[in-house]
Amino acid sequence: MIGVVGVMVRRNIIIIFMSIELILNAVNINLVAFSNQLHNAIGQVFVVFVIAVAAAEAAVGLGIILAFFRNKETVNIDEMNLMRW
Amino acid sequence: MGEAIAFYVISAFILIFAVLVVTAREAVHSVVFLVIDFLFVAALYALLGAEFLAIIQILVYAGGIVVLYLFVVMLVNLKRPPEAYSDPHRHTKIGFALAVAILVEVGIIGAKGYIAPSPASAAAAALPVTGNTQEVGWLLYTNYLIPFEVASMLLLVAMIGAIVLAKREL
Amino acid sequence: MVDTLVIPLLKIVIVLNATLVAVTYMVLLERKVIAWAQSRLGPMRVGPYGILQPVADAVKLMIKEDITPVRADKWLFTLAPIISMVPALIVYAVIPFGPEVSPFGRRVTLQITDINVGLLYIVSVASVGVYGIILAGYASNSKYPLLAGLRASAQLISYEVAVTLTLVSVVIMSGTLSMAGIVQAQYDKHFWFIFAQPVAFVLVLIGGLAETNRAPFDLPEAEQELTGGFHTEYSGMRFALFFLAEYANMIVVSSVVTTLFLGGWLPPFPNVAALSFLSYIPSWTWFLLKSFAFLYLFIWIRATLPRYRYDQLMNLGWKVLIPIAILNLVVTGIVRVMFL
Repeated sequence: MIGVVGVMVRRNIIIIFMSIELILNAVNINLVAFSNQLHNAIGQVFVVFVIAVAAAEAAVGLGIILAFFRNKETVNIDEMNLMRW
Repeated sequence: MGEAIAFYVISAFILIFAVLVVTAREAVHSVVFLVIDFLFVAALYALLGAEFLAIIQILVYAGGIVVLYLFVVMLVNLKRPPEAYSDPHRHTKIGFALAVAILVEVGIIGAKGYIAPSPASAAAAALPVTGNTQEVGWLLYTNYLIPFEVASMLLLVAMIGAIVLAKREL
Repeated sequence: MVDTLVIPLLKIVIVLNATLVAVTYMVLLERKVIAWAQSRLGPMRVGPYGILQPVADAVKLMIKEDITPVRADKWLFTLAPIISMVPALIVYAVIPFGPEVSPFGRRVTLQITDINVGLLYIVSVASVGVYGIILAGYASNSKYPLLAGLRASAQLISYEVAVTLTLVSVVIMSGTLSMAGIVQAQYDKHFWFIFAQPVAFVLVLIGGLAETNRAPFDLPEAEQELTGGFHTEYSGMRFALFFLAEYANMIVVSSVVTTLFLGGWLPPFPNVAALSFLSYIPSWTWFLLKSFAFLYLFIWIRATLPRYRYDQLMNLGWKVLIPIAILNLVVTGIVRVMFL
């Protein structure tokens, strides 16, 4: 939930990405807690995949930010409106 | 009893640092708080008996992904703080309302949908496992082999994509 | 009560103290060995044969003025050396110095704790140590340390990948991630892993050199490059912490290499009955001897080899070490399944 607030409120795009990581972490904690509760390791297997996907998403997302930053020198998401007239 | 106290204490720290991540003024402070947050999450995993996941969390998340964030933060270090420009189209209050709505929704699901341990867990316990790492590894390589291979393809594609995006001339 | 609280605390105190003393004397050892390699004598004035030189160094660093740059980030500036030093020290929690012994009739393992993901713990702690360097470079609020910090951390994370891949092949040989289990596996298989995995041994050595910013990979902190690297703005005790953290990292790497490849606390050929007189030397002495041999090797390499340029360094890490590590992994897996 805190991650969702972060995504909505902050304007620095890097902080938005970090809030997305917080959301993914919250999901992971849920999975691990339920895996512990129900004594089934499948939750932990899914967490491994979530971590892998989060790593891939972070890498590509940051690559996009860097490419964008080379064109227009800002990290303010309200100014990233190259497609708007 | 001590375990429950530790659980709540660690969870409280996780929440405090998460709030700090979202509200810090400088981006670098945000990143540092994120790292500390992830370390506490790893401690939580260790407490819940998933020590392999705890170490993986530190290794990949705290030690890899956040380092990446730190690099990017430093490379785009600006003179003018990004929060100075305020867009009239932004609806901050709707953001808060949305977050509260999600919290309420998760709470309702949690309160109403409690399932008893299913018989599948009994079958899983019959596997020849001697610890958390072996258990996760066994499942990854036998039952969930195809998602495992797909995940590796995903990582390969992401790696190529990141390299292509970061090159100066294509 | 005594077993769960007092004995681990005692072990922690002993190990930490021994480590800190060893680290300070590493400085002296390095200066001496490099001096001998260059046909001179090294520090000789302070105490007989320069033995008290580390004490003089420590006093000098402690009474130096502690300067903080004006617009530096005070919290991060203070935090960065701590983040560098702590991972170097907490790795000792899982290194096995010896098997179970029974002093005073109480069975005690010569290892602070044996978590069953010990090897992965070491690698993850090393990856947290990268933060100290980046934050130090950033918190100094000046161009040169920032760039040097970024370069150093890029080097560290590149070689981390190669080292982790190589360590996985060691895990394939031993079948367990716990450090005590790895030593036990070497005992059960009757040979040290260095004979089974020579390629991995060389790779971990090179990677370890690069991970600890040691020559010939010490570009981030060399005096001639970027005016001193990421610790330019640090003075006095904070600089001492960085310095000590580097030497502590070096000792950690030699201990880890000893445990994984040279059999930890096992005497050579532990299962051959004819050589059982070797076990009269206590196990932790074997461990110290082997670690010391690697430390000497590291200093020797520093005294002899020239420094790598940064792009050669990154080239080596990504284009040479990682393919060799993957190849080693594949070959180890195949051989282990088919033959051993």
